[in-house]
Amino acid sequence: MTNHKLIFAGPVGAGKTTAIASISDVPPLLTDASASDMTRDFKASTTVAMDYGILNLGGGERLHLYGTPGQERFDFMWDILVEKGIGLILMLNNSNPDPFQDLHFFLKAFEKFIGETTVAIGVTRMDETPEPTIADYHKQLKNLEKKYPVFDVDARKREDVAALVEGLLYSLDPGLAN
Amino acid sequence: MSLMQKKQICITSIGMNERMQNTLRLFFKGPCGGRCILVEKEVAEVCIVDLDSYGGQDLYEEHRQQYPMQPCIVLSINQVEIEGVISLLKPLNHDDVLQAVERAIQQLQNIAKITAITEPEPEPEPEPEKTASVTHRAAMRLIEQEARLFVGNLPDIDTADPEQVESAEYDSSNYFQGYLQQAIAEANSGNYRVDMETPSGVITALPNSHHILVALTENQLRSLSRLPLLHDITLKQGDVGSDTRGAKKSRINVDSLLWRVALWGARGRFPVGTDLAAPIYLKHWPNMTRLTIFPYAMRIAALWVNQPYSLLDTAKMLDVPQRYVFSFYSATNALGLAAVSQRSVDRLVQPQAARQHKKHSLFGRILATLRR
Repeated sequence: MTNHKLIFAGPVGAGKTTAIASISDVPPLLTDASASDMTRDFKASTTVAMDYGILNLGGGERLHLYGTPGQERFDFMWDILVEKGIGLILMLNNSNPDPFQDLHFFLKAFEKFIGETTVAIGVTRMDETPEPTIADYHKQLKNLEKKYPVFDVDARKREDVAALVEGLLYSLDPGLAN
Repeated sequence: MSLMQKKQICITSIGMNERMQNTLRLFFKGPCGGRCILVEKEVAEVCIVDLDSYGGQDLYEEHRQQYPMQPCIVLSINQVEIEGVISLLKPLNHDDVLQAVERAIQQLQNIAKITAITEPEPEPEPEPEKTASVTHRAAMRLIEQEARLFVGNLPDIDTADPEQVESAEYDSSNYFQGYLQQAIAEANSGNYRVDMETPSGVITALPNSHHILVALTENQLRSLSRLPLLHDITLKQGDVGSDTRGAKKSRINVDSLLWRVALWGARGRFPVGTDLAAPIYLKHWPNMTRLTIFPYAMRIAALWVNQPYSLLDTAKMLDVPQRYVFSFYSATNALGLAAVSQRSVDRLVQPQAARQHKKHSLFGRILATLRR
């Protein structure tokens, strides 16, 4: 059986758990616990270990979907988690007080992994908080001389999350057949 | 009950004399219970063609070229088998015609499901939740057959033949696209509301807004966008806060609307004046989850984000029909995302083919799984 790995990262409440559930072939294994003071304002529980889902590719081949814990105190796990991953899906919550800070934090935190693979960025809750816009995110990336895909995503919608993963795959290999 | 079920279906006849047309009218009125009405081809949703009439085959082909996605019923004394077309063998009988009309309506409903994003909402200024659902529905992925509605079916052109090149150009200023872009620009620069009065209803551009107010259905928008306009559309200034004449309007994301309007107008063509050999790049990725995504769009985006390629090189490199590349360029150009690279190196050096990733086949399997 061949196994591969796709990593979902992002701050608390950005929709990593929901995004994994949207495309997973199995009910995702959640490892949520009660939220700490830091995260209580966003959601009642938060992921302290990791989310896990599976995309069955056929012939026993699997893509494992790992969600990183949102809290920074667990960041020691991130290096272990990304090892041999095919790329990073970064989920950002547009209604967070400073989503650009989140953007820069996670790009920096996963800099090495992104350099070896790439990243696609999904911005959630844009229906509630339309600004900053997707164009504003691209301005931030332009300052870093990066042109990563950034899509408005409803993490509950499989087609949105699938499009984000497609954006990641085509960024890695535009020659992929349609 | 859907709009499709409530309203009359507009059917046009091709290759029929007045007597046959009158027979159809009576048929639509009687056995069809008034559900269908015979109309001119410009406003028709379904066509019915007599292939045996003088020049019937040519008339049919010409009509299909112009309206590739329109459900079509063909009548002939010979058995006709054309994919996606409903054929009826003469002599016609009442039940068969009725059944064919039902099938055409069914096809029409399927197309409407694909393209439906808006029916006018009850409020001129809908709540944000409604906006969210409208913009979400605007995102859709088309399979190749559905994409014909947006990308057309133009064959690849030989650039050495000026006639072929000309046939693949369109001047957006003659289309609804040009008026829409003008209204948006005017609203933003003048900081006032701009009402566009179209024959089907009013479209309102608001200053520096992410949304545009539209009192037209998707079909009306498509009809308005796909052909050069014969008459100017009047743009009228208005106060931002004032009522937009009580019309029932939907709020549509500006980029999503402009993208589709450009695709309908271009239908596989490129804007007039485009240098097909000029290297094109994308300033950044389009917001793919909120746009109408047709086949190859993601691949072209990924290619142009990484490195500039000419339209012709792009089609060749990705091995895709030119119309998809031309459409993608027309739409991204309308959104201001595509630009010609001014770096001399991009013109002097032959572009390199995109390097195949070592996990190419794995990525292909993931893509296939995501789309199943």
